[in-house]
Amino acid sequence: MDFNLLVVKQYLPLFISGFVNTLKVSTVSLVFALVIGLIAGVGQISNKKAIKRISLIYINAIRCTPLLAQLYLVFFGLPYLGIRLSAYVTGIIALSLNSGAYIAEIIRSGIQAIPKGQTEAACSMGMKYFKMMRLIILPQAFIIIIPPLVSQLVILIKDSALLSIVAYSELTRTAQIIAADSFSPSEGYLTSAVLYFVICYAIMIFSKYLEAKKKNKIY
Amino acid sequence: MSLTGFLNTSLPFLLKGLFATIYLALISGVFAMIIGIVVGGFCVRSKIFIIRKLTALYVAIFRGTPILSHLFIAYFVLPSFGIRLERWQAAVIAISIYNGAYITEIVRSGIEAIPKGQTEAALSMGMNHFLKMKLIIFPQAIRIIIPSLVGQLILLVKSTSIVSLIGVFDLLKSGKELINASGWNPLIMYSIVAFFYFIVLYPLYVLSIRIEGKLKISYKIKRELT
Repeated sequence: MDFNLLVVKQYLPLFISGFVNTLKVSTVSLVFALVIGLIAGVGQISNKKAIKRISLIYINAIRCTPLLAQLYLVFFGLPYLGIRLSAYVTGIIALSLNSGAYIAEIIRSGIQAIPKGQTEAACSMGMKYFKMMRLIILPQAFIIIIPPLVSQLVILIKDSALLSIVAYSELTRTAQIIAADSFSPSEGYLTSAVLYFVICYAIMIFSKYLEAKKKNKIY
Repeated sequence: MSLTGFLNTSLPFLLKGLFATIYLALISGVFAMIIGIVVGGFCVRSKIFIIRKLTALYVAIFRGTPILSHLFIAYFVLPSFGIRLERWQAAVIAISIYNGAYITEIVRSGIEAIPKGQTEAALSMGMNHFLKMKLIIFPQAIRIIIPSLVGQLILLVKSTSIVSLIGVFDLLKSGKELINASGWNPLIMYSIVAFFYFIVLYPLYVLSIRIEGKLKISYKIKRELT
C-alpha cells in the first residue's frame, strides 16, 4: 500500500485549480456544443438537400473518429495552416466539435419523437419554419432530450481529461504534474479520479432525479 | 513526401497500426462483453445483497471517471500496490473494464425491459433461474440490447486510441511516429489516420442504424398486438 494523504494535502491548491479548470473548460465547451448540436441537429432533418448533406457529413465524420485524433488534428495540424491557438482554445474547439455531433443526434431524435400532428397544426396555423421550430417543436423536444443531454454532459466532462495531452492544466494534467513532482503516482492519479467521480456522480444523480420527475409528468 | 514514398513506406506502417488497433479492440471487446453479460445478466439481480451493491458500485465508479484515469492508474499506480503490468495488459484491462461497465448497463436495461409476465410464466412452467434466463429472457432481451451494443462497440474502438498515451503501438501511434520520423505534415498525417478510423467505424455505424430500424418495426407489431 502506498497512498499518503499528506501528499494530497500538500498539493491541494493544485488539485482545486485543476478541478476548477476541468469544470470551466467543460462548461464553455458544452455551451458551444449545444449551439453546434442545435444547428446540425435541425440541419440534419432539413428539407434543403445541401444543408442536410453537410450536417450528415459533419456528424458522421466526428462520430466515426476518436476524439484524440481530432484533438491532434486541431492542435498539431492547425499551426501548419498558420493558425496558432492556446491549449485552452484548442481544447474547447475539439471538445465542442466532438460533443456537438452527439448532441445533434440527440436533438434530432428528440425532434422526431414529437408527433407529426404538432408540425401539421403549426403549418395549418400559417407558421413559418423557424417560428414553428422555435415555438412548437423545440420546446417540446427539449423536455424529451434532457436525460440524454445530461449523460452527454458526463461524457464531455470525462473526455476533457484528454486535454491533458495538449498541456492544458485540468485535473489529469494536474495529476501528471503532481506524480512527477512528488515521485509517487498513486496520490495524483487516484485523487483526480475521485474528483472526476464527484462531478460525474452528482450529475448522474441529478439526471436520475430529472428522469423520475419526467415519468411522473407523462404517466 | 511524395505519393510513391507514402505507398512504399508509410502505408504499410499505418496498416500495421490499424491491425494493432483492431487486434486490441477485439481482445478488449471480448473481455468487455464477458464482463457485461456476466455482471449485467446475473450479478445485478443476484439474491445476495453485497453482490448487488458491489455491482452498482462498479458501474457507478467506472462510468463516473474518465478512461484516461483508468489507463494511468492501471499503468502507473498499480505498480506501487505491487501489481506490475505490461503496457498492453494495462491497456486491455482499462479498456475492457471501462466498457464492461457500460455494457453491464445495456444488458441490465435490456433485461429489465422484458415484461414481468414473461418471468412469471417461465417460473410457473417450472423452469429454474438459469433455464428461464437462457430460454425466455435472453432471446427477447438480445433484440433490445444489440443496437446499443453495436454503438458501444464503436465507442470501444474509439477509446482504444488513448493507449498510445502509455506507449502502446496502435493506429494513432503509428501516425505520430511517421510524423516524427519522416517529417510528415501533421495536418495531412492525422487526417489520414482519422480516415483509417472512419473506414473501420463507418460500416459499424451504418450497421447499428440499420439494426435499429429493423427493431423498430418489430416493436410496432408488438405494440399493436398488446
